[in-house]
Amino acid sequence: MAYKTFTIEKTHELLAAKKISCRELVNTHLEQIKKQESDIHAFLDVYEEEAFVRAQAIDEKIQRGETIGILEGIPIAVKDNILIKEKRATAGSRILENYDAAYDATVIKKLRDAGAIFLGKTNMDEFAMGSSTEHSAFGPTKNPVDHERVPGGSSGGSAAAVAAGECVAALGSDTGGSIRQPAAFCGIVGLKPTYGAVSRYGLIAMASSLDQIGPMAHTVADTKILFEAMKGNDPLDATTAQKSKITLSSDRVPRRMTGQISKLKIGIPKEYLGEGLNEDMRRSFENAREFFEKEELEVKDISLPHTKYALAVYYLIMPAEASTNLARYDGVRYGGERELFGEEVKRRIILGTFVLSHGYYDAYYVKAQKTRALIKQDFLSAFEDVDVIMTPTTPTPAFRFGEKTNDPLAMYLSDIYTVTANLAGIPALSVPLKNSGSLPRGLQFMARHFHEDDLFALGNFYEHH
Amino acid sequence: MNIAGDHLANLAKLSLSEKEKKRFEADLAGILAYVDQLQEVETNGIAEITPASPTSQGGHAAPEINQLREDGPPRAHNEKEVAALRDALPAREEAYARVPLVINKK
Repeated sequence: MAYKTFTIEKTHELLAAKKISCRELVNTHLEQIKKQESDIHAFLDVYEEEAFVRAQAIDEKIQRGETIGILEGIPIAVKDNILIKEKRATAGSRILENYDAAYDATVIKKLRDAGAIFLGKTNMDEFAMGSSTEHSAFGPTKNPVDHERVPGGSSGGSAAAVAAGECVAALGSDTGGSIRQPAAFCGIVGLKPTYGAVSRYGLIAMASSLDQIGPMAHTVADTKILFEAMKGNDPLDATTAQKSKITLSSDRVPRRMTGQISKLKIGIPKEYLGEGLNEDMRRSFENAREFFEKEELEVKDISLPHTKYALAVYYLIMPAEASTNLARYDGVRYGGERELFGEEVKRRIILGTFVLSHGYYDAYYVKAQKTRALIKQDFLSAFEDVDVIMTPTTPTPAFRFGEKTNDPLAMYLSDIYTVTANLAGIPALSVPLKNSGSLPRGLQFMARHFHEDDLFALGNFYEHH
Repeated sequence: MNIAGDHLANLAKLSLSEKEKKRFEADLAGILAYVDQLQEVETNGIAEITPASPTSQGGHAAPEINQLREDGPPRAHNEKEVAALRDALPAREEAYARVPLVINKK
């Protein structure tokens, strides 16, 4: 990849020092989009005109000598299941091919108020159902690192756009790994916040007890900047946590990103290092363990005993919730007929409907939700002993197109290390593994509810040493 | 799982071709065989996590209390937003949505 974009911090520095104008900045990224999109197809819609209008206003502000905020003028791409008012939102589906959003998502409103510039909407698996972006109704996105390989999914477009330098950062959504897995496959950073930390108002719902919007960027510092701008209690989303929880109660000082990390204890769950983990991945991961041990952090082996049930639990709860959420696409209030759903979506709706149907509800759905409570308890117990749990993000690096589309279960297995964080509601961060060879690989950190600062501290340290 | 009887497809309001029904039956048989391992998990006495239930061991990850809005009149309608919602109606007559006939009057 010949072109590399700047980080949010660097871009802000350049803008504030007038070393680059906002219009130039936007133009550079639009040029990258024009140059690469016929290859990569990360974007579904590009907002060229609006981006220049916003850039102009920001340039005038800078010319007047006013100070600008850290996100002001920063070009961001947005996954197409997040609503931007008056703009098309397809969720990667033919059903919403002509649907224009009637309102802004809360995160969009917050980022707009912070001065960010939305470059456009990115490609995704239809209704976020997939791990490769091959299930988009509008064609797949290619991994910028290797065009024969998938970028991951469902936030594949956002991951590819960042990795290809088409934007400075992007928004994705994560229900079972849909931010972290594409981040790992494309060699960038992705955060799934604590459930309830970021409002889901304006996110086209997939599985309501699992979904979270999160940032995808080149560095840990950048994802933190975006997270801080987006997080918060929202009266429009009753599942957002109370303000005191999200901003941390006053008796706990958030860990500084560049501060002391030596007191952090890292746990590595043995259940994540079993068979199914690709040998090269195992080796790269063990290098990460050695890295932290050399830095004299305490690294210990732990056990999360119910891990092996996590994927089964996820593939019962998620389709059940999704089948309910997708009932609204009745062709009456908006969108096209249900016949327009793609195959994977239909499959999951049927599975979810079955799981919730009379006679099967207790054996499947309730059983899954009870097992989920045990999985969450595993984490709570582990966090009495360690502060951060470290695992590979995925069992393998990016696979080739068509490799997993014939066997749905094989596709589902690529989520095996990521679904647990969604089930337990805890935050999780994927950063690029060092010495990963020709293909990017992800290193995943998980922390206690609302302890994103522990993730940022450790991730940032790993990134810089 | 038998979806050939149309029961599930009807519940899901999906019209499936014979080919799709066959395909899904096979896929779902595989997935259900995989999730069957949950039967071996000891869950007696465990409170399931439901999105609505607050607090405690079985409760959901985040909200511990119900969030209620002020008990007063709702915010005024945003005319632009209402107009946008109306514009999204696939079949419409003035302010009304046209829908397929649901109730048969005999």
